[in-house]
Amino acid sequence: MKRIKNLILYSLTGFLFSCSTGFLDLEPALSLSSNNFYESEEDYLSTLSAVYGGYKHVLANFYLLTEVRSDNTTNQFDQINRGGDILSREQLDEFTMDEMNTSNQYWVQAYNAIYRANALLDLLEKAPAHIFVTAGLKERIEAESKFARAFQYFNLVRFYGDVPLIDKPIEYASEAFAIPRSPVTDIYMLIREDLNFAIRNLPESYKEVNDKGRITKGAALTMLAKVQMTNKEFTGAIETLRQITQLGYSLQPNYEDCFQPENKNNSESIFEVQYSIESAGTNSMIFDWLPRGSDAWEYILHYAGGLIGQWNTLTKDMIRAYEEGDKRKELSVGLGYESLEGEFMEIPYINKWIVYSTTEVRQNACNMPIYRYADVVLMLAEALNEKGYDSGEPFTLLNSIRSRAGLPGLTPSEAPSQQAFRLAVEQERRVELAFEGHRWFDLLRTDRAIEVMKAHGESEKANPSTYRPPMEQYPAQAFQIQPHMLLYPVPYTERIKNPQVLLQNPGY
Amino acid sequence: MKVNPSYNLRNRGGSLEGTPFGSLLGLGLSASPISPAYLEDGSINPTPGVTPENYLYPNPINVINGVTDKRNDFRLLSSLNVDIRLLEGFYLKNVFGIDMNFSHSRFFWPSWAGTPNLHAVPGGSTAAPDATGHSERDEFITYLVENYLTYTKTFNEVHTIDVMAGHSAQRQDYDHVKASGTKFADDKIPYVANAITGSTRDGTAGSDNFKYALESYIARLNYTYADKYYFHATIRHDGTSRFSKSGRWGTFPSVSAGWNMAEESFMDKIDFLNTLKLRASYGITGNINIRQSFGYYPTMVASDYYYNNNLSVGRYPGYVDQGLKWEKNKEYDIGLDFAFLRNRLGFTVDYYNRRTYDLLLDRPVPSILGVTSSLTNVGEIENRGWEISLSSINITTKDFEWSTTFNISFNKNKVLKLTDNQDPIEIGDVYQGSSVTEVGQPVGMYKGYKVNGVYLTEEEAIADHHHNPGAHAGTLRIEDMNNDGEISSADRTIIGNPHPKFVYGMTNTISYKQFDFSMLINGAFGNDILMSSYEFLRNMDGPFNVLKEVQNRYRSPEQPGNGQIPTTNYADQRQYVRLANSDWVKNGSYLNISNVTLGYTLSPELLKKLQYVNSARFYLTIQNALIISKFPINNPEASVGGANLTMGWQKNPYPLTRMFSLGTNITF
Repeated sequence: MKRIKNLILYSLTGFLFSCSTGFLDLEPALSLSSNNFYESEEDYLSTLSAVYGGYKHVLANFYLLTEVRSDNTTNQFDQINRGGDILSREQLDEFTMDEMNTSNQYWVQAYNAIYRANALLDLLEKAPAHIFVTAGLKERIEAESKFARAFQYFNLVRFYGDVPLIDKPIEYASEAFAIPRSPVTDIYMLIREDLNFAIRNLPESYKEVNDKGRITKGAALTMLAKVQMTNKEFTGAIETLRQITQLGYSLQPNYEDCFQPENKNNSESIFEVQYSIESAGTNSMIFDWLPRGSDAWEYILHYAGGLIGQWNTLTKDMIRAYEEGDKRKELSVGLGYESLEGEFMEIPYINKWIVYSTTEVRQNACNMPIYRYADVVLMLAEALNEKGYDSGEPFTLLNSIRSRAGLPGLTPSEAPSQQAFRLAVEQERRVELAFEGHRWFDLLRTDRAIEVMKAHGESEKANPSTYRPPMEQYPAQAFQIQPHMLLYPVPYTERIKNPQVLLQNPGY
Repeated sequence: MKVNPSYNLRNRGGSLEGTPFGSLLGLGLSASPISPAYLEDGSINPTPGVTPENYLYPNPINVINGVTDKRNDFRLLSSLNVDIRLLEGFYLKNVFGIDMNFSHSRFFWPSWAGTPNLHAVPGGSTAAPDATGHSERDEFITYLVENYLTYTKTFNEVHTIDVMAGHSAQRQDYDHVKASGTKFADDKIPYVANAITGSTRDGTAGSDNFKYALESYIARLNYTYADKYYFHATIRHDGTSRFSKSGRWGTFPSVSAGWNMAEESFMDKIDFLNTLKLRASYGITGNINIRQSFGYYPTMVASDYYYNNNLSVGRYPGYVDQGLKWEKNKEYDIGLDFAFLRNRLGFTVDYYNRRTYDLLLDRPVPSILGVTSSLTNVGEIENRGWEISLSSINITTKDFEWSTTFNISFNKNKVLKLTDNQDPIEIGDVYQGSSVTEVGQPVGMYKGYKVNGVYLTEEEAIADHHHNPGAHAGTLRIEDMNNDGEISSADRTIIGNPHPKFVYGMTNTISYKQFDFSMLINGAFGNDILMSSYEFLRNMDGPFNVLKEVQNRYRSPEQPGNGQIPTTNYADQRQYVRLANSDWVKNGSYLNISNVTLGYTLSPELLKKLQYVNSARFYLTIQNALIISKFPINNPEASVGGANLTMGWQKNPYPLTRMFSLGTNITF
């Protein structure tokens, strides 16, 4: 009997063990989970770095939607590869997009970046009191995250119009299906709230070398100024811009100083997306902007390559935009390359950053400037002019940029009216801030997009920027720009998940 | 105590799953037939691409010869049963089990085999790509402890009762280590060590570890009355570690009853009927068959950033649906079993209706969640149908017996509900085709353009300009489904159904003296297959090899070709031949003679002469002896299946192989 009793006991130990509470409470050993990750300030800072990672996540599509769309750049026509992505980019450039176009995926990536910011803000709110020992750090992290969120929403609202307003993480996936697009005005309210918090809680600059490149008060003010300029609040914009001029920024002596990797985060830089020489942080996106083919790579980079990127190719229009003697032309524009046979191929490319590539394949350490002080200077000139034509300060500001480029100053007699000065600023912004993601937004906010792009369409059809074989000229519908086309269609891949709730923009 | 060890070796020659070509076969099909496989001097042509700027893919021969892809699996399955008798008919039964799996795989892709990265390829790159390789080890151990009390008793010779109540606990531990080399020093030493040390080399290492636990309480009752009436009831309460507390436990009851009418007294006169059993059952079961152990746990996602060239390791919490819970099936079944003629002829027929709800699916979700797809409980699906089987002992004599079994089942699948908005789930794209799951339709229907041959004359084409303004002689006739006067993505519609109308199987077994013979046939009828591979194999834009039928394309009204393949003129119309359309949907019905076996067993007289041998049988088996189907490429059975929402896409899978094997069973 005793033996049986013992046997029963042994047999049941397994039962008792598994019956214990916690048998089913297993935690992933390897992947950290947010339940046990956040134990100190460093851990929140680590998530903040992932929030910054969001800028890199959206950048390629950002340039696609702001530069290729405009009259600055186009795609190098590919007669052999008519695959989906390439066709979609062409339609983006030619204003023949429909809902199924795949080049407007900015939406998807932006919401991932917004998710990161929302997740961190939520964690900060729930953080136990003992975590943050450094004074002001929690508010600073919150400010950096809110700036990141505002950045994405500001772009989303200018690309798509009404967009869903998400300001905290959504717990139950089913809830997401009921969220409609919120009106633009609501989005701007969130953007302004976020920016005002950021302006109050960000430092003017960071002392630590390892913190340079973080978002500063100046960056938040610059975005606010842009929000104001977009909404034609010129008095407010002037006030904001003047605040920025008090922060100690200054133009670099030479144009190329703004882009050299050795000179990153300099006195003119307000906000740059950071890359590095290490392979994990390299700026490989810009290599997709080179002409297609191994000859081009051999000539420009001195090694073989030639991936099928070939977008963001300069237009003939852009090259003509530079005035005689403009030092920026040679620095910004590569006119073409020599084939192995010695023939000069006229496929122009963006030179500003690619010229700093190393000999390693696809390795470049250049930061991508989002806001530069030159932009602030030109915005101030523009805003002052909007209040009323003035032959004084606006011209001084404008000419500070022109003289750095080696150009003579513009005189009031050359631009005698408010409208003429407007066009002069528009022209200067185009060449000064070329390929930095401003052109499409500038054309939109000055209501010049339809006129400029229609004219660009005429010139492209008459004389295409890149070679197109006779059977493959621009289709008849290209550049037939209608007002609804100033907004991008909501991506089809998003709409099919939720067509009743996520409505499409008119016209698509 | 039982112990079952097994050992498996596998050697593959470089599969290309996950690339646009789908497999080595797909690569071979799409590669240019003009480029030679071997150069003039007899050496292998390393990159037989089409034009210097495009699609420089590796030579398939190099991939087969050069790539090492080996895997060893060792498994030990062992269990210990301890039954303790407490009282008459009352036992405490225990099972202790362990299932250990150890596997090791090694992969090496030498530099001379060309770059495995097919899609975007350096144009005309003459630099040899680097060799890559990896070595992985997996350990997967399952522990099982089951304890239950059972009681069996027969009263008055007619009532039999069998009761069980118990508890089961299971725990799985998984550990995985992988070392990869992305820049080998050379091809001479194909092990990862050759990529780890040295300044020009590059390698990475990774590991993974997870644990999973399942706990269940079970109670069961069986009651039989005189082999006439049967009754059975079970209830289970299962809990899993995979979900958070809110959805962790599920309760799953089921009942069934049977009535063997042939045993009734009123049936005594009908003595040709040996069994006439009526059955009915109803039950709810739970399913949790998902890959991620921690589907509900937000794990951290890496995203590093460099501030002014200084690395900061970044991690943010990944998105996970907090509301995950058990997937449930509610099923009822009614069946009838007949057996006649001294049990020589048997027949069963069942009707079932199974409703699956709260399906656990990785489904596309709005990007505002931060991800584009997520595991969620969504929807309701119904599967109902008939299962019929026949078995007969056709001939039976002293030396010869022939028996046949045949079964056939008809299943109808229908989506009853998706999310609150009932919006369809579409996976795929306009190029390779998509599978759409929508309410009122079977799961995973194919979607694409609907085409109907080509326009044979310019007049025909012009007559359709109010639907397709771009139509010309020789271009495809595409249905303007929404009648809006133009052809666009809105004209894509349902073009095919991956589900078979019925599936069937038949086994014939013959034995004559010491010989035995069996033949197993199975098949499916009425299912469609979507030829996603046509995205490349019908791509008339230029860079790929195309199917021979393209030679039969439309050239002029005098040379209309086969009336299905369009002209190469008019690029904007030509593209439709390589965008998923109804012409890509092929009949996947098949009949497979899947197993033919001939065996010989040594006679008792012979065995007496061999002292230690108790029995011995020798056999020859042919698997997949013959497949009959109208399907144009590869093998239809290789295409059926796939993930639940995207089944039936054909992307150049390897065809089924016919296998011959010789074997023997000897017991001592």
